[in-house]
Amino acid sequence: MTFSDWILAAQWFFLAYFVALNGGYLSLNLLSLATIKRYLDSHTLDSLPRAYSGFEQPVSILVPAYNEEATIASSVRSLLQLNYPEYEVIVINDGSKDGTLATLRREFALVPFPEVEWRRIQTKPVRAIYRSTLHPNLRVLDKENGGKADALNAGINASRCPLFCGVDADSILERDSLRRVAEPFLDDPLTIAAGGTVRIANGCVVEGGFLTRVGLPAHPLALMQIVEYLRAFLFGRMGWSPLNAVLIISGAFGLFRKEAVVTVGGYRHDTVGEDMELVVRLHRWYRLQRKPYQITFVPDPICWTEAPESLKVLKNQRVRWQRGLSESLSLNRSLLFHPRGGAAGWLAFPFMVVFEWIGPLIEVGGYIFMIAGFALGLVSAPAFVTFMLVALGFGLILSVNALLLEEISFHVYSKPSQLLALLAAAILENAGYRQLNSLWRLWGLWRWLVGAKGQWGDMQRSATWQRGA
Amino acid sequence: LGFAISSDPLLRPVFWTGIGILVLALVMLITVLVLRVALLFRRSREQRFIEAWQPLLMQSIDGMSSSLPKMAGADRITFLRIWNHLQESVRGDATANLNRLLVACGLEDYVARLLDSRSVRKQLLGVSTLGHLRRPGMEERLRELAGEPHPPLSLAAGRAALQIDPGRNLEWFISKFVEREDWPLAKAASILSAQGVDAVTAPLIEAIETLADVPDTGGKLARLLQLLEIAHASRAAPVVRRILKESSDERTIAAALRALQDPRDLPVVRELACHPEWIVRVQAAQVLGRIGEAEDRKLLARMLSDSHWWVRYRAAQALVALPSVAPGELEKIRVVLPDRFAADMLRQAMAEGRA
Repeated sequence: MTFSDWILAAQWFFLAYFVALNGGYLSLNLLSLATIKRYLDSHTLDSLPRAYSGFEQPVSILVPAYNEEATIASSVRSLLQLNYPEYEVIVINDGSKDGTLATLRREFALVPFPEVEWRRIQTKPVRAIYRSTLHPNLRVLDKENGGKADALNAGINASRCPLFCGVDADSILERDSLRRVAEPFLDDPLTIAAGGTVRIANGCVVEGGFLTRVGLPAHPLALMQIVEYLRAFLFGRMGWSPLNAVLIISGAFGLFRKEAVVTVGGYRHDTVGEDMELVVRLHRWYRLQRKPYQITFVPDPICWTEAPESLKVLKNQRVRWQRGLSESLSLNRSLLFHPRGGAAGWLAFPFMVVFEWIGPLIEVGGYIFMIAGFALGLVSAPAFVTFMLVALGFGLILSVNALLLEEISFHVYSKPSQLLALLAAAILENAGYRQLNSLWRLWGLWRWLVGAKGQWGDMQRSATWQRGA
Repeated sequence: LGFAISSDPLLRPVFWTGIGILVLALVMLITVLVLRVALLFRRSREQRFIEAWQPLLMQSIDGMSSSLPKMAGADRITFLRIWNHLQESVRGDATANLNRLLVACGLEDYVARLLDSRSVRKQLLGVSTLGHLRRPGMEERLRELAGEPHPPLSLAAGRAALQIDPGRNLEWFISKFVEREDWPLAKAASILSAQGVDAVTAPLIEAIETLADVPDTGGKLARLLQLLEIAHASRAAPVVRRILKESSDERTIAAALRALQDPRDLPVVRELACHPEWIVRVQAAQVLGRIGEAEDRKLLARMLSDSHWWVRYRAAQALVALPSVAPGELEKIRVVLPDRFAADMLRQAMAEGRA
């Protein structure tokens, strides 16, 4: 092959990759459209007032906390006001260096409690267990620092309920979040995990720990992340749900059957993406053991979280996510094309590998190759224009389609001006933001390859939207 | 575009695909805007309708009649949504008054037609309305719908049939629950609870008796036994005792144990406290906590050293709950326990009891 043949082959490779990548996402979109419609139809009567039956499964809400002195009391207070018949809140103070524990002791009148530990999953030592004298369903575990996964495992050990829900200390939940996300467990006893849609709280008004008014952030970075989250949740996860191939349940809010998680060994503490890794491992274990199971996604907006508004913090977050993805997939690679892998092993896993894991490498490579090739005269103008047309056109269609899904389902952003702002963000994010993300993800891939050490998320939060919390 | 059109014939279709994608994106963008405009119109119309009809509905709940404005076809679904919402919130005469209002609006036939709609959303609304309306003559159609593969529709139809004629449909509903394993237990229990504990008990016991004669129910009997929580479980004691005697399935035994409330059953509970399966032992410990006697202290103290954490925990709670066992006595039991884990567990349960 001559040099120009190689160039031509590379052109076609990148073009084909971009068509396949976006074509795959477009197929997921179509699947999501049908699934969301079916979901909304099936839940027509859900808005009617209904009493709890008493058969709902009790839930332990696990709140790992590390240096959360400023916000922990308001977060716990809002968690104690959720609408659900039976649940307990367990805060796990993971060796905080600030006054997190002192704040909790003071605000909730905690007293040491002689509780017997059941170490089903190995964790760093638990120094003390406290119980609130104000709220019988609140306990606090004080343990040595071991990271978020270790804290969650300690919470699982202490949990007294069949279901547990891992919640980030700064997550803002809807009052009926638990009811909604627990519904799949009532509907199908085979359900072992369920996740819900996480939305961005920047620009919203939060009072007393609950979101009272939906708004949009002024910062363009946060605005683009709203479109990005809509894409990720409304079709990135909803599309896989009917195939029982959801590989990610956000660590910000996810409900799990405790026995299932204990059976597979709990959260791994040697990965930065412990939430995704757990879900992929559950798929692997249940598929390979031929055990029937269901992992479901609930599209309702049930959890709100703050998005980074600085490039530095956003970059760190994306690098961490990409490393988490890499670890989750590599640690569970035996699921890939396993004869018993089902849709998770034969569709979702390879999809993740090709388009999400090594995707940034090819995407960034593609852009650099085409731009440099065109500048150097190695790539023809028609090929360059076609590549940009396909890459940007597909990106645009996916962004706009995420808004379409939102418009036919929940229309959370009710003001016309909000919709216009989101449409503008959906168009503009394709001109730089997505490419920048690919670059950061490539860096995350590299960090994983060289084996950089992970630690507690270093997300800096401003919480400027929070009032009276 | 000329340079692209005249270029490589292999590239040309890809180029046009790209153009097609851009056009499609534009169409979708316009669709989003059109949907939003439609939504705004719909909301505004709904708002106007609610403003006009809310007072009439409230008057109707109170039994006051008023002249009704003509209802446009497009407003019927909105009306039914509000009407159903109110029906789920009120009791007694108010429900009958709301029914009269619906009939006065001439919507009865429309609601019946909704059952044949191709939209599950409309079918569900129709089914729910018919249930509240208690319109006779629709039961057969509702029973048919209860056989549909769509679980929410099927269960809603079952509920509606039950609402129309509980006397005739209660047994049928319970048998359908046994058959339809995709009916969520919590939702079915909620529907049955609404019928009242007295009404539910006899048909439930009958269904359990029938199923108890089947050699292998594949978990169906255990599922049905759980419903005894919404019935007079004491009246089910004979069949529960029979199941405990005959069944070898640990899930069925555990579910049956939960229904025991009579101290006369203590011998069998004590026996099952040594069952090889922990899910049976843990239930036995719980029952001992409920109906046990002072003499069960020794058994429960032994169970504190069980290999399974939950059995130890429930045994400790049961010990604390036993009548005529004073806190001082519990402390005496604790200090002589040979197993440190057992002693710690009892200490925790004692502290929980004090909290």
